[in-house]
Amino acid sequence: MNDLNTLLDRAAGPAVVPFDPYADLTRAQRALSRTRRRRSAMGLLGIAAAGVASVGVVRYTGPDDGPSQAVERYGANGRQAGISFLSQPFVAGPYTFDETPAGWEVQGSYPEGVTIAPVGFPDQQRFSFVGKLVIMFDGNPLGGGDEVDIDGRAFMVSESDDYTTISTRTAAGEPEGVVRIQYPSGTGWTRDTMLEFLSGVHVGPDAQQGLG
Amino acid sequence: MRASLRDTEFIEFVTAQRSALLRMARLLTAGEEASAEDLVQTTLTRLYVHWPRVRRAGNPVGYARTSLTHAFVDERRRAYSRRETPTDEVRDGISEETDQDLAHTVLAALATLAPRQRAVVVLRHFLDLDVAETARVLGCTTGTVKSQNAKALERLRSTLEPAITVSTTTQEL
Repeated sequence: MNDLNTLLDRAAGPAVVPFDPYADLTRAQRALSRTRRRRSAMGLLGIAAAGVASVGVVRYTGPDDGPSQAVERYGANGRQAGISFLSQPFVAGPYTFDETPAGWEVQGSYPEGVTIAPVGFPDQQRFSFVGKLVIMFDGNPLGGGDEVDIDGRAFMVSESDDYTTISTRTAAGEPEGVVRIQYPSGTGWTRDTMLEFLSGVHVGPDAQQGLG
Repeated sequence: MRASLRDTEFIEFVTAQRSALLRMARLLTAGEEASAEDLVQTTLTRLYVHWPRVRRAGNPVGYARTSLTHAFVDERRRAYSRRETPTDEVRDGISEETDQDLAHTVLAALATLAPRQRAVVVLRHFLDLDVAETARVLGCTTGTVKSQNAKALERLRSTLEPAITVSTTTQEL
């Protein structure tokens, strides 16, 4: 008489076989990376859906800008900081953005600026800025801080405990003034990712200077 | 580069459990070595991707066994064709069995079972899970486990006996 458990135990093969656990780790890390990229892409689709539902407040431009053709791209610093960009331009009122931060959505646009918040952010008031990304256009001086030069364009970075503000003069051909971006600490944004984002902000002719 | 907590815990888990998972997979696949290895890799990858959830559940071995079983059933559901292994072939050479012959014979007998029946046998009689736990892993009722187990044992006995007489210490129903 053979006990089935014993038979199965013998059929199952050796109790220990040599293996490299780091090969499993590497394989699994790659899978996790792919999963995260897919989730980021879904974040873009979420932004697109929000834009459509906002009756034109946000719309994507260009014949090649459909979500299915979006090309995902990560900046080195952005990836480390948890903010990823998709090479997907969008328009919010008179402002155009070259890139979309995955997982963030436009809450509102107005002639003086744009409010962007993480998808599903509890505070949906577009003029409430706590914990959100705010793009402002005004005619005030550029302001102080660290000066950073990107492709010949000067950006002033002013950091505080809770927020960082980066300012730059509008580009040639845009309404004259200063465009500023203010972003909260602890949300994954870094100076480099925000500089990259702000470099891709374009101010349209219908923008109006706020009081700042 | 400093390993993350996830990486460290995963390596510890793989080091401790990979061989056991491969043995389980070897039985589920009835000795198809490449398929067994694929199942284990798939399972470990899923575990890593969902590691925070696995950690919260507090039973990574149970999570891995369930994931492995589901991966097997899913894969066989797609590819399974009822290939009956001729009984005479199974019985060849049993009389002068070595360990390797015995293993081959038992695996060949397992191959005659439908995938879910094989899964029931492995969970109940190799891992010694009770009926309720087996039902939970397979996502079916305890009644289904009992009936599948009875059919599987009948099939195994008809395939293996009289050369090998099968008994169970686990309650059959």
